[in-house]
Amino acid sequence: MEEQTTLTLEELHALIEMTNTLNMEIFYWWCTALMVLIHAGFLSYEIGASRLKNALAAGVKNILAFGFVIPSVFLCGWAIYNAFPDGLVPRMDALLAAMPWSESMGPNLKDNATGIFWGAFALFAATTGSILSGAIIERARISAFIILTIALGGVLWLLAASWGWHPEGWLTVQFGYHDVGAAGVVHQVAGFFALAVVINLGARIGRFNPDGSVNQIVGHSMPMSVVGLMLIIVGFFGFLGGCIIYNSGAQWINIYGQPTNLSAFAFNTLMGFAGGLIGAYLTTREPFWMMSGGLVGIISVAPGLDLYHPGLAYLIGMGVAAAAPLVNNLLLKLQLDDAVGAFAVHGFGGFAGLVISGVFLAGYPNVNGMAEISFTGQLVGALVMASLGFFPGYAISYGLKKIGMLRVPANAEERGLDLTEVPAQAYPEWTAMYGHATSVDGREVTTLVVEAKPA
Amino acid sequence: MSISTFEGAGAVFTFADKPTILMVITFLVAAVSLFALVATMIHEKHSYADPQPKKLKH
Repeated sequence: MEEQTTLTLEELHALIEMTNTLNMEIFYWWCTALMVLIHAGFLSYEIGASRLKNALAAGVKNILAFGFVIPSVFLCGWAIYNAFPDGLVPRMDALLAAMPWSESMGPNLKDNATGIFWGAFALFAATTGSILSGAIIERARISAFIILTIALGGVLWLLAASWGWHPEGWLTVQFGYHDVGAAGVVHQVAGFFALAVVINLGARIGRFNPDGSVNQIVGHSMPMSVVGLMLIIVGFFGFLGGCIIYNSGAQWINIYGQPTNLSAFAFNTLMGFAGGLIGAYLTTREPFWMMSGGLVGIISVAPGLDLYHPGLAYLIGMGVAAAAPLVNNLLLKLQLDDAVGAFAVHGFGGFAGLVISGVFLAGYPNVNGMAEISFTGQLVGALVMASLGFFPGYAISYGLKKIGMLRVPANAEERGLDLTEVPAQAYPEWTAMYGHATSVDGREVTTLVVEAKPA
Repeated sequence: MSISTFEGAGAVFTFADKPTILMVITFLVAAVSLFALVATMIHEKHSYADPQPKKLKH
């Protein structure tokens, strides 16, 4: 008969601790996997939003964002996050501990946390790149996009996170800045960065008439875009799961150390999403903006996912999403061609969400001696995030523009970027291009011409 | 190989005990990223100068 062994209290503790550690790893592993769906979604969404002549070029940009941003976060981004919570002066010990040659930056049997958190942060970084890429489709050079996305995903978002999404970040400690779902540090920074780039990049050819009126430029597949947006929503559950801290043996905590749980996130994510769908439906009746409105709804309630009543989350999501298409219309009036409304969705959605959270969450306590949540703190945070996205984005894109590296040549833009720079075909039989033709009565008309590509 | 036994081991990745080599590897990762960026610029330059679809692979 087999002898029964009884574990000692110490052995039981060790077993529980290891089980907790493995659960933590598993949780973030699958959050990271779900976050990949955000990129699958952006890929589909941006390809669909591009005209047929640019479908693959839009996709190439999205794929490359992954390829460049992830090593950037490995090479310097993770160190930036760890070293800059005090502002612009780094903590040298934290900086060195997170450099690529440190013991924690690779397989380490005594460190189950760094790699899995690094992975989640790398995916957040790639999300910022995807937000940018949509705004500048159909006319930005791929090389310019790569430079911009490395700056945004590999440096700026991590600086923002270090300041406002870190238990010791100066915005958190001094101002009680509260942004559990990363509305400011990810979405707003990326949205304002995209706006700055769009200003320097200029509109797509034919977008505006000399009198300032706007021409519709319709993507070649709205169904593809709408499905992509729904994939982004699925990925958001990984993204938002990655915003909560698995606290071994105790209640979940948010990134600031305050107790919370996934139930809170579930209530408010879904209610914000639903409110956003309805809000955009009420002002547009249009599926692209309805799904974008769903995103706006989630982003606008993200700062207070842990604290809002779900009904309030619904109303906030609805209100901000109803306004987002109007913000995009305002950009069009200013002759700014943000091709997918990235600023309205991410920049405006994040900014409005933070300011509104300052109204409803003011007075909530913080932990570890940090300032309590306040309207001023949320407003300061929103302004810092806007500046951190906009000014570097403007400066870098302005520099690229000055040396002729920001925008593709006009002939390539008119001909289509797929035929010009992508050695593959989206739809093998044909590639359509907009061009000019002479009508039967001799007039020059803009028409759809077809250029065959060898099959 | 950076360890001879898993007993009590922490960092087990290749060259974990040779920081100089790790810095060289890090430098190579950065260099490849930079090279890919430069290659993109060269590709664009050629594409825009001679935008014929002959570069299609069959």
